[in-house]
Amino acid sequence: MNFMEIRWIIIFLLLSIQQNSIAQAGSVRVTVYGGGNVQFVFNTLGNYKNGITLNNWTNIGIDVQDLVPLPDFAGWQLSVSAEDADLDGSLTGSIPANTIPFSNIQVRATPNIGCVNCSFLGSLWVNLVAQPASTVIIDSSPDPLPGGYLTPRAGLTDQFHVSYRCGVLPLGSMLGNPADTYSDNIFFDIAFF
Amino acid sequence: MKKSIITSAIALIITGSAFAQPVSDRAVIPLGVTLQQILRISVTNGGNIEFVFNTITDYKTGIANGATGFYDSRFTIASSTNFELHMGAEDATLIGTDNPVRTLALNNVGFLFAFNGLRTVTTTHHAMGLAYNNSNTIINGLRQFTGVNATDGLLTNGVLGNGGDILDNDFTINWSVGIIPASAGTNPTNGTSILSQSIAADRYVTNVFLDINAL
Repeated sequence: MNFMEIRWIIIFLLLSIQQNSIAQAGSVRVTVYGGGNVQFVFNTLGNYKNGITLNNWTNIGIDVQDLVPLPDFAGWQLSVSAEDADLDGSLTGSIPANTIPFSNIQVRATPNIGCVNCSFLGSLWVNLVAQPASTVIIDSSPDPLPGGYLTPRAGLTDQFHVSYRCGVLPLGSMLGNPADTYSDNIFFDIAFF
Repeated sequence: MKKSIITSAIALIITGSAFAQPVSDRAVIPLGVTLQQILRISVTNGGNIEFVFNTITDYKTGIANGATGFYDSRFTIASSTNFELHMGAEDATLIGTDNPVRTLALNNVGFLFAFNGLRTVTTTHHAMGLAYNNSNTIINGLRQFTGVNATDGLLTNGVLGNGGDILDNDFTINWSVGIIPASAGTNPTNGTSILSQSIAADRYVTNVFLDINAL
């Protein structure tokens, strides 16, 4: 194989990679604008018995750019889940034996600004579930627009609130759980479908 | 060769930019739950109980609780976790005030334990402690405080757990002294009259400790 042949093969390979890359004809982003740290502090028996609700605690913006009609995205969805790095299905305390099931924590998305026609699916409280499972809290219904494009969204102007609650009926009470600091990460994922 | 390298570099830059366009994205929010321990006991009534024997009948038959509330101690517990309640006297006997050599056996003092709150043994939030296991139904004699469930345990958590506020955990101890015959309590009362014990006249005292431990 001479030098010219090798050169053409390299160029061909790079071009085909480029073609595959350009085939990703859209982008989505999720950005936290406020409330990027969620803390429930139980320090009265009222907290323990009735739970704690953090209304409109986190403010999240979304960016959606559907640049070409093909591939034809049907829409996008935003879902929530817990990281659960230790795979125990629970929030884990500083003492690993201390755990609080994720099912004692719920999340709700409600409109803030923009995001016209976003479907908040009834703004229902949904249980936090551990990865790889997740719960859709917003979708792009009734996208796509005629012509195959999705409605563009911009993080600064299309935002929603996220509320959290822990130990509130009908969820399990925090009474009886050992005093500790329990922690995990919550994921908000946006993706085309 | 140069052309090749330049072409490759340009193609790489373009492909890099193209890959930077995400079709999914993720935001990560740390979530924490901090549980502060709450554990508090408050005596709300009957913090000082005094039995005065001034008739022969008192000496012969003792002084019953009488359900008047006069010989009752009431207390509440607020706890964010399950707890265990211990009860016992500070001293091995009641001790004479005027003459400390004089003593009165602790088991002359009897008590019934009553639940006033929403959580009881019946609701299975509570279970009786080992030392006074049937004191919610039968008079038991007082024991010395040890801090160990087997020897002074009055109450522990049941199947549903006994953590709760003062509306949940509200209790009364109905005291009595010198009652005969001996009760069939887990820790029976003395069963002998104060008269037949020929106790010297004095004021006999001790402190009763109520102690809660988080479980």
